[in-house]
Amino acid sequence: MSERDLLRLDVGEGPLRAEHQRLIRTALRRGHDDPEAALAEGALEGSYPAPVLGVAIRTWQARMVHEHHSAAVFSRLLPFLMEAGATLEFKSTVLRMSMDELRHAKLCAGVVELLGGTPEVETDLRTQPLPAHEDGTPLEAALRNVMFVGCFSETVSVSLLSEERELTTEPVIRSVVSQLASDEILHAKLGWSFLAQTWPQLDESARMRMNAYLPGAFGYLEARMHAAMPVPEGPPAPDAVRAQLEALGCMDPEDGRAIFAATVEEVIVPRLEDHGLAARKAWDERQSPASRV
Amino acid sequence: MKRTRIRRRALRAAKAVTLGLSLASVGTACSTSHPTGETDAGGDDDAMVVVDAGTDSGPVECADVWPPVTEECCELEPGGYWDPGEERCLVAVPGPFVPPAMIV
Repeated sequence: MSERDLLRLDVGEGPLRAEHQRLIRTALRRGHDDPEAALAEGALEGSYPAPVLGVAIRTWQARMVHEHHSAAVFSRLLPFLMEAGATLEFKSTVLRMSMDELRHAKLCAGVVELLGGTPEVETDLRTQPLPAHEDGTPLEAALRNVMFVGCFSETVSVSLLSEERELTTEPVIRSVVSQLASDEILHAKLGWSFLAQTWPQLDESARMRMNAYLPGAFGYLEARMHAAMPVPEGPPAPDAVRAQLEALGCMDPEDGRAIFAATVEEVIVPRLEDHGLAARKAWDERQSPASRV
Repeated sequence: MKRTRIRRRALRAAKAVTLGLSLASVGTACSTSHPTGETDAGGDDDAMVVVDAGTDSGPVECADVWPPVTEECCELEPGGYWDPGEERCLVAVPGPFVPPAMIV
């Protein structure tokens, strides 16, 4: 397989098509929202200049790729949870989350089409394995990975998407952002629930190893978030352009970075401290990937 | 100002996710209540009488519906986050549900 391939999110015509559609309608349904129907029947209410639509299309294409890869992250948590002896609800729920992410990728593709773009992206289709964390027990390995995914990455996603949802005024896109936000709440909950259940089981040496993991994890998270929200050089976009992009579900990168920092400082760090982790010190002493040898 | 409120709500949504377990266990903040329409414990001067709206303290009664339909009941739900714009409850984890009573 080539390193650059074409990501498409079509549903095939084979015998599993009906089962896929049934899963979307039933198992993955949350509340009364039906973003698939909104996309199928909807159109943009406003009119937007081509450059704004171009930025929005590229943003939603990037989300297609990110959500597609996220499905593999969740499914790869399963072996860690099995080896850690996690209770059954964690194992079943991570698989639901993996399906959520595939659905999200398809929804993002639908937004690309709504905006007038082509719902396919040339990208690297290979997926990355999760770190094995062989310096600790299977429980520690599972906790590190689940904590990073749920307590770190997905908790930031909750605040980002919650804010984005309020700023998105195009009704069809808003229904998609609402679905993404609702699902991310569950995904974040995985991390906080697993942490609450497993942290008391760790002995002192395991807790020290968990605390030692945090500065690198925070630094890596910040680097990845900033890479995903690049701030363009030059003067900031005019307010009218920002408002149009926000209407299409695209937050200004500087706002995104600000809410990331606020979420870490006001939500993640205090809550980890409540559990007994040395999170404040770890955030203050976070190590960016470049500084880690 | 509007943006500040939006940011505050976004962070509140994230906090709700992390606090879901403790929210479920602590219940409501106040331990006493009296029925709607009764007066408070202040003086007898009619001008000072404050009628209790019945929603600021004491146990919250929630209808057996899913998802919760009031802000108070939403926030009692583990991970529940009330969306004031849409006036609906976004709930983190759908469970455990409270089992229904035996039908006799």
